[in-house]
Amino acid sequence: MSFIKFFWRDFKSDKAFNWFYILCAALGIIGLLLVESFKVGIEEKIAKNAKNFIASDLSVSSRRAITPDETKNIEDFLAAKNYTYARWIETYSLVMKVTDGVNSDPLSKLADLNFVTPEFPFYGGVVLEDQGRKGPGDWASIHTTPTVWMSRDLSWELDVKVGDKLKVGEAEFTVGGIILQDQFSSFRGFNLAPKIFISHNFIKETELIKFGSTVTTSYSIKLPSDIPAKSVQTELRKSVPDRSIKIATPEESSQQINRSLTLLTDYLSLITLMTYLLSLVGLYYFTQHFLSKKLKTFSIYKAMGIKTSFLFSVNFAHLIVLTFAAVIISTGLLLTALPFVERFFSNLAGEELFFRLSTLSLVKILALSFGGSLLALSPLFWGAMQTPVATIFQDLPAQLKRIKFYYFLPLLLYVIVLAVILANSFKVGSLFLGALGIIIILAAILFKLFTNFLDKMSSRFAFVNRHASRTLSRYFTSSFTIFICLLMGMTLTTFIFQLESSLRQEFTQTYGDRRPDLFLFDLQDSQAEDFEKITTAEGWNRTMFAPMIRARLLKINDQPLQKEKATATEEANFQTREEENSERVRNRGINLSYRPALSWSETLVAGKFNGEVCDPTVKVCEISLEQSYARRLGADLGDKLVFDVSGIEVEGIVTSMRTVKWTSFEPNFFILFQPGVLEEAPKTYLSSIKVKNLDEKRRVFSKMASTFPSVSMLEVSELVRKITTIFDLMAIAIKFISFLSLFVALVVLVAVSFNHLELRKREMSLFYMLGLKTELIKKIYGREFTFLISLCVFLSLIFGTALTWIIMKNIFNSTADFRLGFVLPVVSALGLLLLTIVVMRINQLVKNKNLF
Amino acid sequence: MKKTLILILGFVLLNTNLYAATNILFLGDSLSEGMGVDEEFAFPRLVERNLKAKKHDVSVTNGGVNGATSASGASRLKWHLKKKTDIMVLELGANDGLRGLKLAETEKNLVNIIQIAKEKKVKVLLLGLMMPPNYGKKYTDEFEAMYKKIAVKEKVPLLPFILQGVAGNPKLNQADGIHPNIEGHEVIAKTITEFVEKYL
Repeated sequence: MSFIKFFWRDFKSDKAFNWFYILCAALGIIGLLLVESFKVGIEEKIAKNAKNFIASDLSVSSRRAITPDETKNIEDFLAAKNYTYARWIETYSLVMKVTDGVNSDPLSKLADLNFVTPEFPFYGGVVLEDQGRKGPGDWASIHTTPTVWMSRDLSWELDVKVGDKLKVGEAEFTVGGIILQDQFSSFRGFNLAPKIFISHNFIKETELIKFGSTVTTSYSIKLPSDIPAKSVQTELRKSVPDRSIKIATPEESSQQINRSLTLLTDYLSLITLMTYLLSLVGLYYFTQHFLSKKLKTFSIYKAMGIKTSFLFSVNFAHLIVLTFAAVIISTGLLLTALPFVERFFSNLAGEELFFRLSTLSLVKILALSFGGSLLALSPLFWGAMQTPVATIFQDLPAQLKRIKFYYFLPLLLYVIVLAVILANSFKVGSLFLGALGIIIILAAILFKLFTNFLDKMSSRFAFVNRHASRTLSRYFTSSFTIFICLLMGMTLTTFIFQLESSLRQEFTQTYGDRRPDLFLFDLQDSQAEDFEKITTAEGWNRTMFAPMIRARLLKINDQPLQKEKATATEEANFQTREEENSERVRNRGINLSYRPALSWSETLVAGKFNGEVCDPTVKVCEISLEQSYARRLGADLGDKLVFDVSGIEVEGIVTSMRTVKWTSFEPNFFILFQPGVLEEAPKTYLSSIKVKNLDEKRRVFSKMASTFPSVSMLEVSELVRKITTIFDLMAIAIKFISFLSLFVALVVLVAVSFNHLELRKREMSLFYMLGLKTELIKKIYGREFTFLISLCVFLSLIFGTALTWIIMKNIFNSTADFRLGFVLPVVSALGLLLLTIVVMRINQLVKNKNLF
Repeated sequence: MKKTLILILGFVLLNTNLYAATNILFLGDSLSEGMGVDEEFAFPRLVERNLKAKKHDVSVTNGGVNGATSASGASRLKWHLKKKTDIMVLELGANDGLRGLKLAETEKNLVNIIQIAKEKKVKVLLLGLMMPPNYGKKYTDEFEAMYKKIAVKEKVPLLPFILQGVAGNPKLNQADGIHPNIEGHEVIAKTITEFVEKYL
């Protein structure tokens, strides 16, 4: 019989297996594809936002003056390549409202001036009051007449409106628009002052740009869509070798936001990996069940002279066809559903979301799916093919040959690589898998103890319990296999839900009402009391008020930190980013603070925080360090640090470590002293205010400007809004993936349990033949599963919680939100549902009485 | 008993001002602090090195604080005056200007700092600064004039512009175009050393 004919006949005879296999595999693949499409979509969204930040595909910028030679090199390069570009010059200057001369001293305010050429912008735009969005091509009005578009905050401060005149340098401009929203970032990081956009055509008239002016000069370059920015960046760098001229791709310009997003999307991938592993476990069990039924058939084929290698090829081809079908179905389904998924999530999030699949990511996921299925199931098929011919003469069902563990080593290696690739980090991947490994070892020990205990106690039990307990202990290997599968499924469910809850807590729920709109800095000691009175009188929501003392770290454990002159004058050559960070931390001046208690955004992770007043003349006072700073510094609990605080040495002993929630938008003080040490030191205060509405923001601006003119204010609400929107999206994605995982877990656990029951059918028949009543047989197996599932529910809560704690602590530097009140009912319900399905299956098996 | 008395006498003599070095305090901002370079290469430390090389017995305290405005000067000076100080070199006001603060306020703060120092019999040397031209002619002119006005009013020596020969020169500044690099600090230190030496 030809291979194809044989294959087709074999294939047709296993319809139930085929469909279940495809369902299980497709679920895993859909999970992977869905997260991947969300990742790609988010990356696209970031790329789009990042292009908006720099208004182009590539930017060249410098805070020092670009020399004529360098200018020529850049412009020659762009002309040779025929790339369009805009010039963008950013500088700070004092601007004032032009009055009728009645007011002798018109108010002048610092502004961030942005001179742009008519090509600007290629991406992004601004939203003007009463005029709507001004994107690419809508900026003509500022280039023809001396007109400016200015930020709303500045218009408030100067009390100007559209049509008023503004003096910028030596030139006068008409206010043509008030900017409500601005998508562009500043090349100077945080904006010290509100923005004004002016045409480059009028730069000369202002007479502001001369020798000695502090100006950021930049080129915003538009590239053809098929030219990657990275390659142009590399090429252009050859013409402009000085690194003080920055050549940045859009992604590099928004690295801070990218960093947090990357971390989250990598985590989503890790959760998907777990879902995929679960579905792989399901596939494994189901295939095992399928093969155990076919063992006699294999023996018959072999007796007919069909070679083992031929049989293996046929069944392996079966596996490939099924996996391929699962891939086609899942990919087809997902690609069809993507527009709906996109719309659904966009509506849910109130933000335009993209779900995209690039060819590369599609190929990557499909290759991973194939690889996993084949590596996990091939050893099973190989084992099945080894069934001796003599099996056909046995009355009893054939046993699947036990497969040596090393057959699965390629799978283990594959899973490790998969975890590392998907999590984009060796640390994350290995930490996760390491923790799972430890859980399996612990579970093995606990299960052994549990079954030993049951065995010892069984003599005191009634028949049903006694038999159920003895079965668990005496058939340890098979009991342990199903136990570990059930446990892993439930542990991952507990973990996923607690991780989801912890991350959502981290990103959204708690801090919504505390996120600041305004940062105030340089409040003097002498102003602190008055500021306190004003905030109380005006009813402002002051979210933070902290003293800040500038210092320099001199010694750690009496070892000086200053570098040798030789290394300071040479360009530093660091091997790793960590080394560089560590060195930077050691060189830099630092801000100290003190307070009697930890703030709401801080968590103690080691030692004991001491907020009591300390007298430094009596003893060395205590210090609390932020954990990651301590790591970079190489400092630990018990270390003595010596600081130079304005010429006076102050020392302290590290007695506690803290983490600071990075989503809280609170300034992070790396070093906190006990109160009593730094009160006398020269200091300024840092504060933040959350406003109720625009009116209140305006009042704060006005009151602060008149009462404390030396205090600087930064408006951060727009930045906070942009970032929190992204956090909200990530939280939704995490929740969605969690529910998908739960569904997969249930399917898998049912598959595993059914398979286990299939393997016990012979035993059931024996009981029946020995005269046990069907009710009693049902009870025995029902009880056995009750023991197993109860233990799994109990241990999964412990292990899942521990896993959540490990991941949150080590990767997110945060605390876990243990939602046992939610997870306990969910896992119990899962256990109960599983038990009900298993009992139904037992009833079915016993009812048929056709157990052989 | 004799030994104890000798020890006490020795300790007292060692601590007396009679034999102490001239203590110079640089009360300033990020320029003095040496933002972006190690403190040992910031100009106050280099001035100390230069003066010592010229056989002057001086001890310099670097009271530079990154981002400091003139408003913080008085309280910081009071802290430093807990230690014996002979000369205060005042280098503040740049951040006031860069943030566009009102110059009348800056002037008031600087005068206040000088008066506190004078009350404590500390000699004051004033370091002048200028604003970059992008801050507008009116503001930059007024800013430059402010130091001259203070120097005349308070009768203190003034070095008109400490960044002479450094400002605007990319080779002597860091990539931000504002803060000097190690070579820039050397140039500033040379200028200030000559200025301070006259008043030792």
